[in-house]
Amino acid sequence: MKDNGTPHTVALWGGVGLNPDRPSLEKYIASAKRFSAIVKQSGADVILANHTDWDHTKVNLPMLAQRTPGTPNPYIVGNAKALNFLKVAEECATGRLMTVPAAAVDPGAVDTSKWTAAEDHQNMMDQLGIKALRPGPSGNETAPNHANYDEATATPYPNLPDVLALNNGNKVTTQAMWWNQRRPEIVEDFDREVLGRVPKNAPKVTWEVTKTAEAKLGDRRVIGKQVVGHVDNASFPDIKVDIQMTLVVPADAKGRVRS
Amino acid sequence: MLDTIFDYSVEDEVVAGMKKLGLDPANIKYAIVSHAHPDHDGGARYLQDHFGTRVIMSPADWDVLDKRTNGTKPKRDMEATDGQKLTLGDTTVTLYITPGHTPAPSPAFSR
Repeated sequence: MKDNGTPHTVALWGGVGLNPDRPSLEKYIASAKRFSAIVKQSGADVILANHTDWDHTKVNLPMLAQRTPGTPNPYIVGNAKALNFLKVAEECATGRLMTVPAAAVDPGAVDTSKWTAAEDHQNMMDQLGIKALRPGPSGNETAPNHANYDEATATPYPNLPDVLALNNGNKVTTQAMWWNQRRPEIVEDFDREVLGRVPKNAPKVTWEVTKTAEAKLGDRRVIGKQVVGHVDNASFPDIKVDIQMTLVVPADAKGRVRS
Repeated sequence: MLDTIFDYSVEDEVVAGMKKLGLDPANIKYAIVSHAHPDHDGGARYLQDHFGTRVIMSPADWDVLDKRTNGTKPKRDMEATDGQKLTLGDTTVTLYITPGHTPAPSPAFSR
């Protein structure tokens, strides 16, 4: 561009406004940094935006209309100020990014509620970094991982710890020792080595008996209960999580039936 | 022409505005549209239809326009590439793809 014959380099920032989502803001910041380097190298001394509110056009144009010879052109601000403009854009985007929680659902994000079970499964594998699952026992007797029905080779660990001895070797001699010491040790072993721990923030499950019926199982009268566990899924109400279960207990039980 | 304003104001502001300054809008050879929002691309169709103006925008923003179903939009035309130079007379405009505001707005940069 020329101002009364003197050439100048103009930089125009092609989209000033910020979007509310993280990916757009991250791209915006990267673009602002990159364009700043280009503007610096070019020595551009005019900065324009494409809305008149952003680049002082509403002030500059009337000034230009009344400009007298020999007075400066208000658009020619020098390279440092042109770079300041882009720095403000970059910092505004950075500030905005800080206000957007990382977990916020981006408008362009995948709608996970439409996933098939297989897609959901693959996504969880990817998140956990699991490449393949260990195959279960094969029904084919000649396969190396075939299911074992031979009692003699059923367990590679035949020497299980003594149930009635503490981990430190002391014998369990009273009921109190069992409840307060040995049993918690075993529960801990199972939690750590076998079952895994229940997360502290596991959703609450509210159990409801939906149907009760008496029946005979062999020669024993039993009560069958259909129960549904409603899982609190407030974090994603579109998906209802219900655990279906049937509980069969003896009808003539004198007290609570423990499983 | 850098950006083309709305479809409803291009005639008043671009065409009438240029004439007021003693310029002929039929001489607009290229409209560089910074990004696919109707306040920037809306008037481009008018320039295409009346003056045969070539419209340049980044491919990603042309894709945005292709999906837009309402309002006036230009026919898909020239795709800007990063670092592309467009020279008219003794002025050269260099285009850069800078995503953020939309998939790929192109700040123009002219010498």
